[in-house]
Amino acid sequence: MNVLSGKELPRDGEMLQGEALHARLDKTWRRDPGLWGWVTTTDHKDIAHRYIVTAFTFLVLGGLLSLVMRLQLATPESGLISPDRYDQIFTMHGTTMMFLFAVPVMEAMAVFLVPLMIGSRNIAFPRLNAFSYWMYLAGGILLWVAFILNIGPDAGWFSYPPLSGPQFSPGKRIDIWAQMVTFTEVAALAVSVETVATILKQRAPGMTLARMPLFVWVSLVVSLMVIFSMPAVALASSFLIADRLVGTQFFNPAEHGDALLWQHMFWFFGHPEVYIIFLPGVGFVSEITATFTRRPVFGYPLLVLAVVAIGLLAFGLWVHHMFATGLPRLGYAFYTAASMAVAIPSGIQIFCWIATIWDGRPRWETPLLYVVAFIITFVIGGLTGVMLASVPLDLELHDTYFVVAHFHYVLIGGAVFPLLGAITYWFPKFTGRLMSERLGKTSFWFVFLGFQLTFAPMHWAGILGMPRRVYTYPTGLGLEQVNLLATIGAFVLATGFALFLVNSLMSMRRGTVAGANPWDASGLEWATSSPPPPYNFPHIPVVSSRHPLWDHRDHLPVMTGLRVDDRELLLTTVMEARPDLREPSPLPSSWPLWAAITSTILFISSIFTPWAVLYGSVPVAITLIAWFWPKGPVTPEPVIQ
Amino acid sequence: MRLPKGRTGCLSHPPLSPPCIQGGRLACALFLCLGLTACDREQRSLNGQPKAETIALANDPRDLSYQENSYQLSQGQRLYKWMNCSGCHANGGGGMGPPLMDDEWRYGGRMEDIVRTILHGRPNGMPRFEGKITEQEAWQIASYVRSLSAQQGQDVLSARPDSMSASEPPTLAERGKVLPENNLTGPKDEQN
Amino acid sequence: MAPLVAGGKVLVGNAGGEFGVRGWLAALDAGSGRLAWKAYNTGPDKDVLIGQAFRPFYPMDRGKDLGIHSWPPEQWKIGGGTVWGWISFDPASNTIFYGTGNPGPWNHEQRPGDNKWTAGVFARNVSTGEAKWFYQTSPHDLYDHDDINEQILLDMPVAGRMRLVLIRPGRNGYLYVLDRQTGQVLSADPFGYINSSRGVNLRSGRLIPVKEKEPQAGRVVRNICPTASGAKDWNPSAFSPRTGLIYIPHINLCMDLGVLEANYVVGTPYLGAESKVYAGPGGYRGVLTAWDPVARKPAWEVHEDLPLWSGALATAGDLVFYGTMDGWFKAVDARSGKLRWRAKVDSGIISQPVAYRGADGREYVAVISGVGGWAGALVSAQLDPRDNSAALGFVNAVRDLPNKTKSGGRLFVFALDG
Repeated sequence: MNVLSGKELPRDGEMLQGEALHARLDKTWRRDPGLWGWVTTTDHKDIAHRYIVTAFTFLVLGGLLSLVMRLQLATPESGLISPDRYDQIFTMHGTTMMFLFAVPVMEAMAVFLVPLMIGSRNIAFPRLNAFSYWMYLAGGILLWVAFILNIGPDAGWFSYPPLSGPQFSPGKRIDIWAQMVTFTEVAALAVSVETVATILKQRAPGMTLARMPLFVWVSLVVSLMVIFSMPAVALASSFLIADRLVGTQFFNPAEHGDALLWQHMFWFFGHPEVYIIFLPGVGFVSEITATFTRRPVFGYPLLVLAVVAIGLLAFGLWVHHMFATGLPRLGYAFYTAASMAVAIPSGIQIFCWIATIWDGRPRWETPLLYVVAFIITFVIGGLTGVMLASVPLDLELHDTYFVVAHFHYVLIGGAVFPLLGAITYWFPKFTGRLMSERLGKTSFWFVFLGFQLTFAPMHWAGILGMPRRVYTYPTGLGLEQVNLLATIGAFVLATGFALFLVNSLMSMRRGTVAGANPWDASGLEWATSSPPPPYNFPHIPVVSSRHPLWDHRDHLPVMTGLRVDDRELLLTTVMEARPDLREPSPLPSSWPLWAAITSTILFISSIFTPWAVLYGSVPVAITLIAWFWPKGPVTPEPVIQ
Repeated sequence: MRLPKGRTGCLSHPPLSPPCIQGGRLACALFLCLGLTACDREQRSLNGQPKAETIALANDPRDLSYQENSYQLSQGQRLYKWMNCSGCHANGGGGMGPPLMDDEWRYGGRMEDIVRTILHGRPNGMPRFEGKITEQEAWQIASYVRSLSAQQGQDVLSARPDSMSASEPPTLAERGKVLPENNLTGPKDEQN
Repeated sequence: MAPLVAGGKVLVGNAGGEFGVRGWLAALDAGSGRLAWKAYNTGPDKDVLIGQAFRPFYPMDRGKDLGIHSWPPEQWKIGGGTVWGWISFDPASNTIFYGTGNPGPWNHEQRPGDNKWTAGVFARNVSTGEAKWFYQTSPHDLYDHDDINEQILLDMPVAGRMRLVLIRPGRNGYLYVLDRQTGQVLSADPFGYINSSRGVNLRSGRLIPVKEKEPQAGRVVRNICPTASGAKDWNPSAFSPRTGLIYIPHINLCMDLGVLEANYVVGTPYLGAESKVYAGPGGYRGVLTAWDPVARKPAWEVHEDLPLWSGALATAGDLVFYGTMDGWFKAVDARSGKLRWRAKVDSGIISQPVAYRGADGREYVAVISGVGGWAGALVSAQLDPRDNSAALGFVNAVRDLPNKTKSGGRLFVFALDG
């Protein structure tokens, strides 16, 4: 009988441990060296890093635009920027923040965290993941290059026809917006499919649905929401391009099209979108709260049900964005009721977190501060939301700065504060080092107070009747002070963000080196080194509770038997997470990049000629065929005698 | 003289020369490229003060700022209906008035010829619009009139108005059709 | 219009119903040329020459200054109601009968009300111009249905009783038989395909509109029959006392109509409408109908591919002459409709043939060729068929015309025994 040495052993196990195992797995899972490896990588962590850095770049760009707007609005009748440029700027700000920052960054967090949290070696469909990043990048570059060339979109981030239609916006500005939407939709749909597949099939053995971390639950719900909502807007934007390029009549009431059709299709996506952005915040907050209060989050089943309920309700209240278009009485009543109903699961969540903090032993470190800031801000935003859900008030406040204040309270309060907390919290997992606590707290106070100073006065501006999206306001309407305050607040807020960025850049190089689990947290992502190796876990952990690391502080049970000489994942059953199959994971490939390049050519050319759809599909087909070409049998397994 | 076709429609700016920092060369080059090709084709001029344009002499350089600008064109499209141009000329096919989407121009097909026709009128029914619209508006209408025969670049044109669909979208029409030379020499029967 | 000399007056009206004019008919003294009277078709009663003698049959036409009150304020001043068609003269009662044109603009939403006295028939004393009665075929006209068509004055049995009647094939598709002494509608029967109205209420005299076919601002209404050019336009029909039939040259077209707000700018069209015209049910575009007014039904029909835009001429030899837009001058049997003779001329015919005995004693039939007008503008004015709203949509209905004829303009005279 031959005894195989560590070098030849095909699977991890008792005989293959420690350094030898690391060397074998690293060789199998490491990306190729150099630029080529960077371009072709299929490691979910690499792609998530890229996503996050790109999204924060867009956050900075979008934030700079908001500073320009606040400068323009600091004084009445200001002539700092022309109305035309202002239109482009507020459109770019909204579009960048919603399509290029908020959704991608939340998905990127899922791409990074979900495989680690569920104990898997990689995300499902990793090449699709690479493809989605390139598509997202192309969409963002398209939008911003157009803006720099003075052909940035200027019809608002929701581009209502007829303003965005061929009569009132000829040219290419709106087409660029619409095609950017297509790019980001493709990217978001791809990531969502991966996330759902990963969560349902790749969980560590024993991690039943009831033991999934809350962030994983949230990612599942959010991904399903993306899958159901985004096709609506992708379709709508294609209709719009067709109206504008080939003269179709989708949105022309004269020819029996319907301008309101756009609003329905857009908000059928647009409202769930708000929750797609907000729900990951729920996940971050739940994880952070549990870790920093050193107790399991209160009411886990309630929180899960609340998340699912919000996910479902989100699809039933898009019409509250359209109260001012004129609806039947029953429509008003139904959508008002549905909008107010969302307050119930949201309220349950808030009380669960308060109970957790109340009952735990909170450590007031930066991530937990962001949680508190989130609760305060989000509650205020939620209350103004209930106000806006009532039709009489909405008709009064529609399209005023009150609405601007409301949705910034909900979006920044509900999503960006938790995100900043989450970045601080998981920073060691990204980089291996901790962020500076002192600088972190400073930036927190700048961000929190700056935010309140910026957006609280906007409630007053709105009640006083200041309309949104207008480049200036007249002197003498009592709007001067609130606007000046908001502008000052915006710069304080921007300082806070700048400090946060400086902190992360400095800490990346000089921060305290963190161990595998610097916060003494309970999730599986803390069971591996910081940053994790390319293969994530030397052995796949086995889970028997919701808090594996708190239950098994010294010795996490693991399973063995996955191949080390080939990329292999463990698939488990959907409900009970019993080991099911071993599945090969794709190798690095450049075809996703080529497919993204050819798709980009197709999408951008189709702004100019409908023939691009026909001719452009040929190179896309070629790259896809090459991508999916059967690679022959996997390396045969050495026979153990 | 040939008409300046201005296919690209983008107005060139003088090359900018920002101080290039060591290591930022690529960024600088990129920035320069963008600066060179910056595009005012879709600029909406909403300055509040109407530009008082005088009727230009041949090949006025301001042609481009009207006819290669989608905002001016869309304003022209609205005015075309508002001022009842469509009552006689339909959506370019004509009726009581001559068609505008073909390549025949009785009084010249240059922007300034069309502006003159609109403002001063022509025999046999073309009324005089001077005093009813501003000269700026006449230039805007002229820009739209030229778009009916897809004279501008496709990326300026409007596919359709928000009213009854009547003709093939100009965005799909064969464009850049250079007018016959004899139509460029200006009005044939000025004495009328 | 061609002036008519009747009762010592030269009668002439104005046109321009699409340009926001105010319609009128004037009578000049035939001897001196001085203006004898001038009757407007909108505005106060004194302008319309409505006085004590005015006895309209239906209540809807009774009241003071309806020419003002059935309009939005001031709208009557630019409301159309022109007189550009045919006038008939009844010497026995010294009365003229004529129709008034469409109200303006076409966009009916800008002129709520009945829009008196447009789109109807006036009977007037030719000497004084005083109105005797008025009947409005299309109160609050929706589709540019000028009512300027010819009126044929007959003495014929109606329901077994001899009546003095006035027969007019209307633009809206109904063949009206009116009592020419009172203005009462004795019958109104469709002579073409109609889906925009359900008939005429003989009790109130009103047309019964179909709600779904009513034009709406900012929305195209499809498949309205008849079109703006009517089931029959201006081209006059002929009556043969030998056969007792009325020969109606007319058209079979339908349209899509979109209305939008019209602005009144002097010298420009005051329309607010765009339309697309196409062949009606059956696919043919022109019809020659021989109508039996006593039996109230057609005796026979001849279908023509192109719209029939020429007048008809009935002769004592029991022939009916008419011309087609592709240049055929045809004679059909007055009793059966069978083609008896035809000749090709150089261009489409949209004129009215005449027959006469020459100085040499021979009989001649003459017709002018030369396609044009609303239906033929595509050829005569070289419109662009790529725009199917050109010529208010008529170009769309005749886009094959340039292949079938060319523009022209000649008088052709045919000798009957030649």
